[in-house]
Amino acid sequence: MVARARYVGIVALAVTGLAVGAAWWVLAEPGSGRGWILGFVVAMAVGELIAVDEPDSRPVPASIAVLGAFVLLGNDPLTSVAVALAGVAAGGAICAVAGTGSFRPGDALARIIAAWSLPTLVAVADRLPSTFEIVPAGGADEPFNLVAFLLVSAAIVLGLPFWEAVEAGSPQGTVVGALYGARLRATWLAGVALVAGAGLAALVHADLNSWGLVLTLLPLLAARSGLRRLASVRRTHAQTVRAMSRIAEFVDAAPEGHAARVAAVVVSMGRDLGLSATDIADLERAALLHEIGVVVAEGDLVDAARASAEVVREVPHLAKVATIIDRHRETRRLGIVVGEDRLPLPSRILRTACEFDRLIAPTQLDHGSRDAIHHFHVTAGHEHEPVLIQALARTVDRGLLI
Amino acid sequence: MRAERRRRRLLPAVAAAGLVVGVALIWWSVRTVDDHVALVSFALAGALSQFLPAHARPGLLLSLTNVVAFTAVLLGGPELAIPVAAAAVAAAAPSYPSQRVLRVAFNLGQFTLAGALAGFAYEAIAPAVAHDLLVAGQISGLTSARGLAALLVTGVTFTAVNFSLVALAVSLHSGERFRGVVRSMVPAIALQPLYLALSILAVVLIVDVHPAAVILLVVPAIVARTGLVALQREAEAYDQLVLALVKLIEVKDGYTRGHAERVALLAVEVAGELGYDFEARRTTRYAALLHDVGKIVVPLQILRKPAALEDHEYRRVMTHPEVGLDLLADIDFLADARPGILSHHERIDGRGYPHGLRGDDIPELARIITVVDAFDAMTSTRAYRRALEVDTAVGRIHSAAGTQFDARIVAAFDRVLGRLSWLPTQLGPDIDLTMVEHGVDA
Repeated sequence: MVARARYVGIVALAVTGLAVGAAWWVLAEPGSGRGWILGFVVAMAVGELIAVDEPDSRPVPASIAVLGAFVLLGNDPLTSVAVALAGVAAGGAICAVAGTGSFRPGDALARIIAAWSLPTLVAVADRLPSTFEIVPAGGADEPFNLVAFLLVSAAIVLGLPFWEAVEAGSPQGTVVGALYGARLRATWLAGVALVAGAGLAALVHADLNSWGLVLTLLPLLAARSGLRRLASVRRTHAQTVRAMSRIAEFVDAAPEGHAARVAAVVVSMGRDLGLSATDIADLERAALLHEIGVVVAEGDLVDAARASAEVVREVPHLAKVATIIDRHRETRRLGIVVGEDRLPLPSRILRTACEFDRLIAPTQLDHGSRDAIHHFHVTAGHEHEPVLIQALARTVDRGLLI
Repeated sequence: MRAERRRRRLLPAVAAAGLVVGVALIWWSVRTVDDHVALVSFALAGALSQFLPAHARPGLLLSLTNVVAFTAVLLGGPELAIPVAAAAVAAAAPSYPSQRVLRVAFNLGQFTLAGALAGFAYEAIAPAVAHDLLVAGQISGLTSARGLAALLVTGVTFTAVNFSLVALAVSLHSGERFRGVVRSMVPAIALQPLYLALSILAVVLIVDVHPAAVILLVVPAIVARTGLVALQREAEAYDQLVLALVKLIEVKDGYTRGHAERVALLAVEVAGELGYDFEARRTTRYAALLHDVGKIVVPLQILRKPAALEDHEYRRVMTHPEVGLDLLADIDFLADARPGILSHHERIDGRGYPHGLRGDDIPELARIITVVDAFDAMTSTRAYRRALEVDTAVGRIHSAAGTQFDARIVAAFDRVLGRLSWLPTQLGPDIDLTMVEHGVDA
């Protein structure tokens, strides 16, 4: 199916390209020398198309590299916006025809803002003493300004995830800062590849004209295919962990949705208590897998925790997750151990979150309500540390529970 | 046997010829090149490029070595391409797993020869373009019709010499037919135009901008490699996660360890026998590994009961294909594996479960798993009976072909068994169809 959609996309692309080319031929003055701009529009459209077939993560589109090159060639903001608009529209139209993705108004806006603002950076760099300029020997009108290249690169690598964070964060009122960090970590490598592509396309443009753009897109395609498949394996991994988290529900050993709810709570509590991003990720996986062993354990929940940890320990990269699971039930037998022998914080968070869900799930109380916290405090508060109950209460206050 | 021996004796001879050719070409190159800075930097680039490769999938190595070699041809002709090829082979030598001397000798010959012949072809077709580039530093000739034709011939010559010689060596070494070896190299051959295109960019950057500007080409390559290396690591991690789940099922089911892995191994072999491509064999592997995942909900005392099951108990066991499907429903990657999991207890005569499908209505993937699963179950020791002899198990499968099993799959299975020497409850030769895409070097 995917292969067919892609095939249709390619055909649609070719047809659109021909149509746009014909229109240009009719409309533009012959010999005006503006034909090369069309090359950028088509390359932008292709770049947009390359970006769209990833269903739930948002890849960095190759069109950014094309736009970057256009700006680096010294074009003014208005022309840049025109090229960006035409490229995004053509790309969106192709997506619509081929049905390979959905057109996002937010992305178009981001492209236009970039097209409007990046030339300003180039203009600023041009005012500096021209020690950092390279003039390609192929007869370029504009020298290639290294400072401008660095400024544009930084703006793209740093600005792109910022835009995504703002766009993704605004509807849910989530903290933009945290999202920005996550998006930056996810996109900086792709961003670096793209700005290298932008520089490359701008530098070879004098010699190779539009062919330079075509050739530049090739290494970018290679880079993107590697990154994209990586994203897909990561998604599969996360989906599989989620699937495994439902095993306890399947055998009626846990309330429906238990592991998923506990995972949401521990993530929120972990943030509240200042855990690092990797610790939070481990804690989330621990929450999802903490009862998987129930299908082979014949005793109580402590045995189930042991069995779960044993299963998880089979997976080398989940060793820390196994430890969190292994010890999260210990307190039940030993009471809260204070001092040197204290259980690790993630295990304690998991224990509190898990108990909370187990106690609240059958009560029909809303998990995100103060009543739920109150009930938990009254019923089981003495078994849990005050600091954890407070973190849980703040989590409930933020309304982050499902 | 005699042909086999003759074939094996031929390989050292070919390698020796390679060594002679390689050394002669290097000697000629070092005497001919006047620009020693170019020689050293290109040789260095050729060697460094060997540290960047990443496997995109088995047999498909992404590497910048050919880009460096093509660039050397375009900028310096055969005499500059030869040191690049030699340096790349020298840098790759430590990573050869076996027969290092033979491989280095052979590769030295074939790679330098490919570079040299490509260079001669380029200079013969477009001497003016080559002269402009080399002497006057003018790029324009390269994009002329003659220049493009020269580029094309250069690429074709290099690729033809390189791949045909490697295919010859592989065919001598493994006994596979030459044509089959070449066919397996098609994806790698398809990458050559990409390398040629990149080398054009490199030439423009070096001649018209600055040699240091090639960093702009190297950066996306490094990003691609980073992605592929991380991909390999993540894919391994994913596989371990799936195997942990599989082990959990086996512990619960009371199966001997490795049942699912043996079923997966055999199923993949049968799929290969039926002409499945790489993706389809990978799907087969995961479907076979996870075919019993739904048993996770069946109570222990039913699964491990040493006597015949009561009706209600059997009905409980019969839910496992559908439960498995439900459990894995949200994993996109397993979409194609799901029919294999759902229907692995269907029978050709329509008396299976859960849906009583008949004949070709049963997905082929499921028909494969059914046969292989039955074979491994019969040849493993269970709580209630000892393992059967392989011959007995095969006999029973044969007698049920056409009723329980698909006769075509059984025939393919026979051929697979004939190929693998099968020992009950022991893993056969290890083949790699994990999500990880390890490479096999030619």
